[in-house]
Amino acid sequence: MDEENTPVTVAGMQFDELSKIRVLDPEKHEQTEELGEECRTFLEKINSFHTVMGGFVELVDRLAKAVDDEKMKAIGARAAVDSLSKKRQSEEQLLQAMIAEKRAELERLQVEQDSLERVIQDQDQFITTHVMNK
Amino acid sequence: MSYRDLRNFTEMLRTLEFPRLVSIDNFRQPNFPLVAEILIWIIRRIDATATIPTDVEDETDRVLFVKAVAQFMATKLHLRLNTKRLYEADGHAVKELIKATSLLYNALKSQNEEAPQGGESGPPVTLSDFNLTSKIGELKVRAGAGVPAFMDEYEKLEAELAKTYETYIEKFRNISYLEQELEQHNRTEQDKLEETEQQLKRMQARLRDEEMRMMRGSDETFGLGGDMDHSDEETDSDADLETEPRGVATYGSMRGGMDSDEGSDLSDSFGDIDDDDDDDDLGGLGDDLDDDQSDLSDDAF
Amino acid sequence: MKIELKKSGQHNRHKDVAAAVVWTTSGSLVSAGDDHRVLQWNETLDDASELINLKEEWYPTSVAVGPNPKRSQGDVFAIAFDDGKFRLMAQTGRIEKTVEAHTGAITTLRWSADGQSILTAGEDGLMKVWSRAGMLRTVLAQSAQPVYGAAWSPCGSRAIHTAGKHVAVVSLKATAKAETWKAHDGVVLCVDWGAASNLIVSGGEDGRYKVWDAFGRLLYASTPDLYPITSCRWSPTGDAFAVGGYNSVRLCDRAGWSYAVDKPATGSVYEVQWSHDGTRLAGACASGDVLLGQLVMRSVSSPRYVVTQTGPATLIARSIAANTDEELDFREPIVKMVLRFGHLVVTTATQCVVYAEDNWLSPSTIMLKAPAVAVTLGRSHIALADKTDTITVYTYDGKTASTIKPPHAQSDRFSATSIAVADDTVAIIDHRDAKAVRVYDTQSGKEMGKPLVHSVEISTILLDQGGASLDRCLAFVDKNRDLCIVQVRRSQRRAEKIATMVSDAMWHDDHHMLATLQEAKLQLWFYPACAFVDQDMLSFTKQGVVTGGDLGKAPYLTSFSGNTCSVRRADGASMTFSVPPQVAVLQSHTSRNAWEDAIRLCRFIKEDALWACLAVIATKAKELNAAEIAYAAVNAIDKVEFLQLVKSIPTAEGRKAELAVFSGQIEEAATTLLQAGLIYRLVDMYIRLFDWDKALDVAIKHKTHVDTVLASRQRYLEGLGQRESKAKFVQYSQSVEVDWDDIQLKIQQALEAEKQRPGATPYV
Repeated sequence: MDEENTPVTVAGMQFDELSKIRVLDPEKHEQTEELGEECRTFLEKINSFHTVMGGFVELVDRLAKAVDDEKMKAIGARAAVDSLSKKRQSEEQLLQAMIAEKRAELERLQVEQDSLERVIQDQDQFITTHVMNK
Repeated sequence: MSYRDLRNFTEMLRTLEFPRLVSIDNFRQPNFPLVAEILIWIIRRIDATATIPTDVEDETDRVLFVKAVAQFMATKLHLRLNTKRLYEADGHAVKELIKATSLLYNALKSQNEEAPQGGESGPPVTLSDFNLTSKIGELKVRAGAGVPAFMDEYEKLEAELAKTYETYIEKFRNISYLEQELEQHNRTEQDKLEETEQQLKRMQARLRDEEMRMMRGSDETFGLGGDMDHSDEETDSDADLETEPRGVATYGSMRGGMDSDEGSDLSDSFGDIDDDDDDDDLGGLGDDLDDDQSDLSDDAF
Repeated sequence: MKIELKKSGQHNRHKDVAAAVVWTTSGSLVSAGDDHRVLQWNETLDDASELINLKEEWYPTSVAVGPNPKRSQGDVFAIAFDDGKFRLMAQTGRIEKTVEAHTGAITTLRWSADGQSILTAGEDGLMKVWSRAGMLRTVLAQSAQPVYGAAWSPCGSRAIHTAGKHVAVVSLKATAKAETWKAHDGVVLCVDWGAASNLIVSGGEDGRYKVWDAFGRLLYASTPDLYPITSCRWSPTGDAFAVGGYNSVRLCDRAGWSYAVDKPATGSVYEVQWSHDGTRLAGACASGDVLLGQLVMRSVSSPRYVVTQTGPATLIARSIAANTDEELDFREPIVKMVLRFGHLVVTTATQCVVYAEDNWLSPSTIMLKAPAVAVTLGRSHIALADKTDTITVYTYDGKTASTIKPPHAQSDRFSATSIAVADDTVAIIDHRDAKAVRVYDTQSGKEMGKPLVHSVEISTILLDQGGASLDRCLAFVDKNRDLCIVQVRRSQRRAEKIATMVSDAMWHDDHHMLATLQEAKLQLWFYPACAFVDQDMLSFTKQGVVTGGDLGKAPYLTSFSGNTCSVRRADGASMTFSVPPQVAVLQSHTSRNAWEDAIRLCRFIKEDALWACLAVIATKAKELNAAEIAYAAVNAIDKVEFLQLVKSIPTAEGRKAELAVFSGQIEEAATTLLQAGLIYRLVDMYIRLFDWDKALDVAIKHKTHVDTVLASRQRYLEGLGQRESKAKFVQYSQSVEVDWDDIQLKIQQALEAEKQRPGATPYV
């Protein structure tokens, strides 16, 4: 308590326990130190928070992209599923079309055969009327 | 409005199997009902449960409809559609519609292209703590194994549930019994308390009668006694003058203390009763009472 | 016939819509797509190289290939874009010119066949014609609706375009009015006009495709498909066309019926294009895919063989009677195959291989200087038109008979129906004026006389194969579907219209017999040259064939030989009908001058048609007795009496002239009489024809029988109760004394003089 009245004290200077000269009184100094320390930790925390958040954001972004991709896939899959019935339908149509073509072909051949048979008939008749009668 | 857009748009609708044939010339003139029909159809394809106003009869309905659609597209597909153009419902609207249909069309196309490859490109991102895929896979495996696997687990769970339920029932019974006991106990306690109170009141009444009698019967003795110890008597009498009503007040206060402060203490101690041994508390109560009485006696004497 | 389709792989194809395909002059396939690339494909379609890289904002809609003025520098591409511009680009990708052609997109761009003009059509409803350098020539059409498809007419003087549900044909001549008709129930998306077939095919959003003739008459309408028809294109050979739709490519016969349909999963096929030889087909698809199809299973048949293409360079000839197969292999892909007159003619890019039906092992091979574009067969010759606009005539043993280079010829307009060949004559429809037919000698290749000019455009020509050279008969069908015949080797070419509403016609392989299809009915003409001899007999000598049902809208004849005639119905069914064998027998008798046999045959068969044929043939051959008998058999008493009169004429020239008059050949008769010096007969002939001026001229010129003419004229006018109006007759009746008795005497003298001529004797 003696130092309080020393000239140093008067000038606002102080000594701490280790007899080092101090501008601030030790208490304030301690508090300042503490504040500095806290600020540092805070900064560190903030930094790590930033890194974590960056990672998190990146992760979320990737996730969002993945989700988006999956969503598009899902939409595609749904569209594909929806189209499946239609696909079957169109396959059926294709087969029907092919059947129709074949049927038309058959009909054509039938007509051709009929006409050729008639030619045979005509020729037979010609032979009977003009050759056999003689 | 462009030939190519119309050509590609109608082609996409065909591929996506829009239920009707759309002519390449359908959008040469504004055709809001068709645009609305296509939009509703697109939305239904993306989300079958989506709620979209389907009434597009008058202008306000249409505006609402277009807004709802644009919102849906923005939230679900991250598509920004120009609502003004959509509302025009002509070739410009096709430019907007084509954004949505090409999304579906490309999805379908890539789906079709992947299908022959047997879907070799598995899930690209797996979050360890978001292990839904494996769970789904597990379920799928089980589903593949057949119904019994599920049944086993189900039966096991059911048995567990039955046991737990039994325990629960037992505990519930116990607790209700104990509660009942407690209640009964509390009631007797209350009765006892009331009885004690009655006794106390009676005692007080008796004491007051005795006091009154003593005061009426020995005025002189009092004077003498007063004379004997004057200085202190003076103050005491002064005090007494005030003390009498104070005394009454004290009674009152005492009763009030019984009613309010002490009562609260009582209730506290009642709470304590629940935990601690009854006799001690009762004794405690008796102690309190004794203290008061002693106070009273101190004051009185 | 079908198409074996191949799809470009996922890796090579366009990243976005493939909008157009085109074949380059050298025959490679080029495609353009929304991925801003112009790709050139290899033969097998499994590799593509980027030919031109277009700018990012350029979306091609149509591509055409035109000739480069400097031939060495390859093709010029005219590429139309969706911003309304088209650009002329070299193969290197260098832009020669950019033309702002339309507002909105250009939908179609077509180069004309001669390479001189470009046709564009756009969303703005306009159709424009440009010079090949990109200078605007005319705005051909202005329509309220967008034009999605347009095409040149075969001759390039007209163009067709779509407009909503309609199509319109407009002429490049400003004065001609456009012909517009409703073609479909939906928007018409595509249209094409076949250069060789001269038919129009259209496709629309109603899912139908339709075939029209050049005058807008509907020939075929397909059943509707579920999706719009987005493209259609005629094969350069004209016998087929291709139709593209959603996930579909269809190959159709020119009559419209479908040979085969393919369903590639490629979305809409926006364009189909045939290779220049018509053996391959390319397609541009919405999925970005490019399609390439090879034409296989083409088939030709004769009464004895069916020849079918089984691979690009393989044929199988199947004998119908023996049911045996003969495989024929070629070094190169087959381009054309024709089977007729007992010969199979096959062309590849460099060869023409000729097989006789009975000898499949040793064909004769002709090396070609240029690829063949049309092959027409005659009984003993092959006429082959090639890319150098030349027609070479070969015999079946591979020797060159002659080379013909018709003026104004354009190789792509040669077709089997525009060239006709017979033993002695080749006929070709003129390419600049379709009303004209040029006639050449088969052996010398020299043009005979001036072109035969008809009043309207001619669409089909045919030459008869049998009979004498002088009687060579050309039949042609004009745009009004009238059928005319003309004896092309006579100095006086008189075209006789013998039938109307003819959709197709064909001569018999050996005889002067004609088959026609009229209003879907088959008609046989046993001796069409009746028209030059005795028109009255035409109706006697034709016979409708009972076809047992309708032949449909556009049937065509596929064969007419031996005792059968085959027709391909509109639905593709081939029907064969028997042809009475007696006509052929009669014609072979008469060609040998075996008149007795001919008469016996007719007596045996007892048919008016046969008698009528004999009557005409005999009259033509001046076999008056046979003719008299034949005419008597068909109760043509007037003809019999006439023949008796002719028979009584003492001189052969007199009889000839009389018969010539009978068949309407006045000038020929006059020449005959003049040469023979039978002036009285000549004067008398003109008098009987009431050709007074000519009669008087002849009489004055020869200073004889002037009074006969005057007297006859006087009597004629008296009979009509009229006065003389001709100045010449008034003048001569004043100067010449007319004495009826004197005239009679002079006539008797003339007839006596004729009888006294050396060798003069009545017909026996």
